[in-house]
Amino acid sequence: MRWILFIILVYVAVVVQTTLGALLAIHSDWVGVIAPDLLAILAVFIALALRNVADAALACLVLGLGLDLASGPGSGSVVGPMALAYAGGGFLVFQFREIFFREKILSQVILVLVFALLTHVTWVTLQAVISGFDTTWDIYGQRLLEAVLLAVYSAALAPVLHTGLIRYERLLIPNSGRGRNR
Amino acid sequence: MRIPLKLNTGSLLIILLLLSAVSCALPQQFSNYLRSRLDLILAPLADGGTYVTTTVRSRSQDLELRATAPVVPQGQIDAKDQEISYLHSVLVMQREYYERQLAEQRDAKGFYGEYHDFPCELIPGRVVAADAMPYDKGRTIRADKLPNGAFVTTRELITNRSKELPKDLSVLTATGLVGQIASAGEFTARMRLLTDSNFKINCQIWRDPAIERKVLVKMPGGEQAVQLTAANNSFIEARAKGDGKKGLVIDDVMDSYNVREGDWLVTRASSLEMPDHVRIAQVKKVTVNRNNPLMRIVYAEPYVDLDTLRDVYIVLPLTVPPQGGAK
Repeated sequence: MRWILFIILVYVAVVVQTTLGALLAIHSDWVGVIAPDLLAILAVFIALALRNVADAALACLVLGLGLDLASGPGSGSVVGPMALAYAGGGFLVFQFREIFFREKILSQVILVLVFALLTHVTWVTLQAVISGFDTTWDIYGQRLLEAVLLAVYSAALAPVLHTGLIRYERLLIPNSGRGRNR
Repeated sequence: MRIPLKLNTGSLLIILLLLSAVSCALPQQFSNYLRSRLDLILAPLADGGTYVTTTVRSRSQDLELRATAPVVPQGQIDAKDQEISYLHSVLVMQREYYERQLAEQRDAKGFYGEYHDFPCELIPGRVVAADAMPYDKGRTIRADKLPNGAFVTTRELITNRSKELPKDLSVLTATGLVGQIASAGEFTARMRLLTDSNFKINCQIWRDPAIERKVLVKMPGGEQAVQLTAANNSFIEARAKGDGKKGLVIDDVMDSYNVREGDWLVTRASSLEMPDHVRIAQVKKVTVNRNNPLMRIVYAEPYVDLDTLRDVYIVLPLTVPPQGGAK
């Protein structure tokens, strides 16, 4: 793993998520804004490509940390929960990847769906616990709903982004587990 | 390339996991500090991205408006043009008259009028990024020396009304409040939008007299239902909060006030943090409060389009706000 290149990639991904990501957001009267988590798609891609579980978890943790730092302080959220959730998610994806065909679109969709669902539900729950009585059940329920829709939306975008990322995989991970001709 | 440290990735992972866990337990000020550091790095590149996003969104909204605009015959357009020219000349005359009146009444107005001076400093800022996650409704602003809690507006407010008013009053464009500074760093700040579930503000509801309705008015023989007019209209004090989606909600407005769709939420100057009567939102829906049938729940939509937000002004009052003001 070329870590310096990876850090630059995380920076670019965070910029894209916080700026151009708004163009992908869907506005709904029912739940407000439904936006994808582009970093979750990247995290699953990297967890599938790396050969070492510690590398995968570390890379996902850094991505989660980027997301944590770029999220708003509106609800009194703290930095850390998403880094932990991403590290855990990356670990799980790495453990279960053997039962999936990585090149299959359905595999990418399922893994991103599970990863995003797991990490965002964890984040919403941890932030609610940390904020104590500031978060009401209504807000918690609404955020869980947003998390589910975000996961579905991210999973739907996963095949498109994975197709693009595969082309540059060897730049980032020279000894990835994925063969060039597969 | 390997990490230029003797630590292997496993050790580094454990250290970062521990640091993340510790950060969760630390007060939010620590997280805000970390975020302000990131904002310094993020802002230069994000500025360009936000420019692209807001431009594309504005253009797409324009196209939607054009597509849905009805086709109007040329004769009607000419008639409307003439009407606009006439109204413009009337407006110019009225403005001159208004300025004369204003000059005559300026001194007395400060003592007896409904409107009061609001000395403040306006700090221009620019929205450079949105939240990475959709749960919080916030924006990152690029500006210097911003205090926490300061309100953010898109309106070019007159900063010191004790001074001479500007001649061209059209600088008071029809825009309004957009949010509040949640945390501030050295050159960047995070703004909490009106729609965030943690946004709360003491405000006023202004009922539009153009919308016909009956309201209860105190008369010598008791309260009577009469038609709402400009003469018997009054501001209704309220406390609005963001609904976490796309609007604001007030859940304790008395039924007798008869608030309707199309009414306005405007600022209240009692907190001394914002000038009076700056527009916040427009009422979109009014429903019965199930917990108390005598109360109504008012849903309002922000007056300013928050998706295309770019240039903003942070209102820095030059007076000390009292304890327990709007937060």
